[in-house]
Amino acid sequence: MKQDPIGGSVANALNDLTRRFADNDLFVIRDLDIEEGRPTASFAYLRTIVDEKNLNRELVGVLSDGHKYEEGRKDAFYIEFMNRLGSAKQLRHMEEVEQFISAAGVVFFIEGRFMAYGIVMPGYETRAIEEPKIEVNVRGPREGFTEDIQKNLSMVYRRLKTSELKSVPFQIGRQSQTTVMVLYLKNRVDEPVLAEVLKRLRDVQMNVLIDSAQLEEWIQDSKYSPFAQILNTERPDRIASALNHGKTAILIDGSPNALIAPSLFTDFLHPSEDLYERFYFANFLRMLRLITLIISLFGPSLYIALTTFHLEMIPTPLMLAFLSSKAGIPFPTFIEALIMEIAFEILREASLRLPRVLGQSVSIVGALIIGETAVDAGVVSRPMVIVVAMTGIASFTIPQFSTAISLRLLRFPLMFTTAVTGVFGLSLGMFVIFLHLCSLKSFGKPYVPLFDGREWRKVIENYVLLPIQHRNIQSSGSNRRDDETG
Amino acid sequence: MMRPVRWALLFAAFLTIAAGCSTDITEISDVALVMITGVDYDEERGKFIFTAYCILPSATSTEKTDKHHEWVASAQGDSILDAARNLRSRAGKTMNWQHDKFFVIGEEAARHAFYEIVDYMTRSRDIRLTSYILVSEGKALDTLKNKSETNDLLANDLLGRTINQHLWGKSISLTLKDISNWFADPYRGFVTGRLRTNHGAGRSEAGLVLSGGSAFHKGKFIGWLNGQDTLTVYMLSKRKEWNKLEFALRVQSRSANVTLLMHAPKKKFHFRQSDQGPAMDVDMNLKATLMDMDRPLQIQSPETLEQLERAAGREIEEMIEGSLRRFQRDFKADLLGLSDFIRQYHSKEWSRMKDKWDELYPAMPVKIHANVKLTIIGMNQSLEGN
Repeated sequence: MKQDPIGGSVANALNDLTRRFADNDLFVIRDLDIEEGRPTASFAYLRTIVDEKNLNRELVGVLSDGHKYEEGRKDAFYIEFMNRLGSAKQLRHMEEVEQFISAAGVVFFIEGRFMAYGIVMPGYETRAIEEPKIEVNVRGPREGFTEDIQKNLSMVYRRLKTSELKSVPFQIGRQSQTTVMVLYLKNRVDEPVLAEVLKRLRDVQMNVLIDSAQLEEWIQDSKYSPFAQILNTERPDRIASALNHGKTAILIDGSPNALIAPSLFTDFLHPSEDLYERFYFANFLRMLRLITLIISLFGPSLYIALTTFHLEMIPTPLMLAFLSSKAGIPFPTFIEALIMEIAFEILREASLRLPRVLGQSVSIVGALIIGETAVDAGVVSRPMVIVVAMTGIASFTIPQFSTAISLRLLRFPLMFTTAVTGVFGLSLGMFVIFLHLCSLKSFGKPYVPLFDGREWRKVIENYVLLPIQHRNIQSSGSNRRDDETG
Repeated sequence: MMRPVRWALLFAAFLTIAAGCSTDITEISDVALVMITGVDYDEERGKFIFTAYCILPSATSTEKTDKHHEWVASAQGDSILDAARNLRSRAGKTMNWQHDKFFVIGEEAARHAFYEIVDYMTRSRDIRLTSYILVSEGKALDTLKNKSETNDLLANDLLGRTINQHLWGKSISLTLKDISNWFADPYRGFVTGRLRTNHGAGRSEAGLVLSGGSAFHKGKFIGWLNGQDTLTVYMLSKRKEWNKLEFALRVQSRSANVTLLMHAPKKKFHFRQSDQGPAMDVDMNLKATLMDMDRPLQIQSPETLEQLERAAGREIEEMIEGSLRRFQRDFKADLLGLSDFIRQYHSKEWSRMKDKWDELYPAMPVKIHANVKLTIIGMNQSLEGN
């Protein structure tokens, strides 16, 4: 890229800047000194995104503190002024200056200098640190990431007070120039994975980067897989724990969700809270979530298979119950399941999109009134309502929303294959999904941890939470045993 | 132009595997659940009568009731399959045999066409090998028309009784699997359930009684067993259920009538060659619980207990020996499977005697030694107190 060096003439530089920021109402140039009708010391910034009040106060403060603004002492005055505002960064090219101003910076030009000085003075409001909205924990830290990357970084750095914690900055987005920060622990990180992450980030080509989801799509391994391959979290404690496991974290300015790479399928099933509960209970929950995963993926399909193809597999008393509740239902089981599943998805989407207070009433209306009336009217059978409700609730126990929706989506093709060939179709679908999962990789690491004859302990630890003394921190960077929590 | 056509064809190809096109689908709402099947045979006309006791849902799912409609349908045919297919002409729903727990065979059918029936049942994929086979006195059709006394479904009622058989031991039901295993064995017979209609006094409706047994030998029904004989078969042949068996035994000891609950019988069979030919000894160890007596007995004294135990042992020996006499002399059928024991543990002797088994068996002495141990005598020493 062609870069314009700063020439030393303030007037030229300001002309250049004015041209670059033409038709921008926010752009402001203020002169500190003018000689022979030409500015010799000036600063430029974008109004409203810069803390203008503070800027003015400091300018007045410098002037009233008795610092004489006189010939020969001008440099000292400028330095005093800039020091009061914050740490200055030297900028040598006009492109840098432009970027700096766009990113809430104030840039100083002084005649005769072949550089400009930039100070970041954001004046915009950001959200305060709040409790995570999606990843809610009963026990454990209660702060979540915000949209401000600096706050987010501070939350991570506060948890890992070591010089081993490194951060690599990226500016991604031709227009948005979004700051992206890759964090890793030098002594723990999996080097090939880190190299791959950095390489992929360098290759990202986009105009505007707003949220981590866009970046995730760019850098994930398999673009057409229904499964999310990069874990996102809004919890700094989870990032700290992941870094300790030798993973890399990617923080994106403007997004309260940070990414973790590489991610395993099991990571999507275990919330950070597992680490904050007694390991018996945590393992019980992990097992429960594996069961709910199976229910949410196969629930309706299994019901279709049993009630339309394999009546002999239903215990007789249950069969008698089904017999009376299915009588007079006008639709085939498959259509019934399809109707109910789609109705459920509509309800879920409606309650999600509406304001929270209204959302609750929608789900109550939907679940109670529509469900009950549909059964009373003989449109759907009671067992089907139970199956769909059970499946829906089961899918809510999957902590990662992205995984839960992919499971919900895969339910439909499975229902199709089952409706055609019964349990055979179900197992065929199951087989295809399993093969696909096994073929996935996350930054070169297998997505599903399976036994490969080596490192069985690591594989087990992906599924089972061992007591803390026996937990082996996984990290190919260092194989030492450690008694840390995560 | 070609492109949309190609897509339309591709879409149509997918439609062929669409759910509605699958021929294997059986919707539950279209099913008549057959829970008991009756098979009768009219020997004079050579016709089979196939009866299905079906469960249909009462009305629609909207009524909050799980009442079911019981429906008994029967049809005639030249063979079992013919009769079974003719039955479909009477049923508006798809008959489903996969939940059929009972096959009730009429007495005449059991006598004359049992082979054909078992053959049909083992061949048919719809019929479970774990379903029970019972023989009814008279026609199976008439038996199935009875209502259950508990107002439950007849099938559920029968199943409950079958499961509870080990609590009294005077009834045995064999599954199709067991029967087809033993069916081909020319040396031994087997005993399965006996179903009859009881027109007891003081009852407005006739009820079904599952009691006693029906004996089969060489693939043919040979006769009925009473409760005592069935208990003998239960004690000595149903190896899998020995541990569960409990039965009541009335014993007279020192002029008092005492009822004991016998359980966990352990047995050992011994085979020996005596001068008169092969002979068998059966050592039995039973535990007993004293349940009631009609007058006080000094049961705290060891002698009384010993006497009681001996009396109980004698009672059992007599009971079993009486039954064995009937099996050996009247039926001439090895209903206990003694031939199986000899074949398994004394194969050399068996290979020598198996050709003459039919003559040897009725004359073979079988000596029973029953050793009863009273383990629980209860808290009450006597009702009057001491």
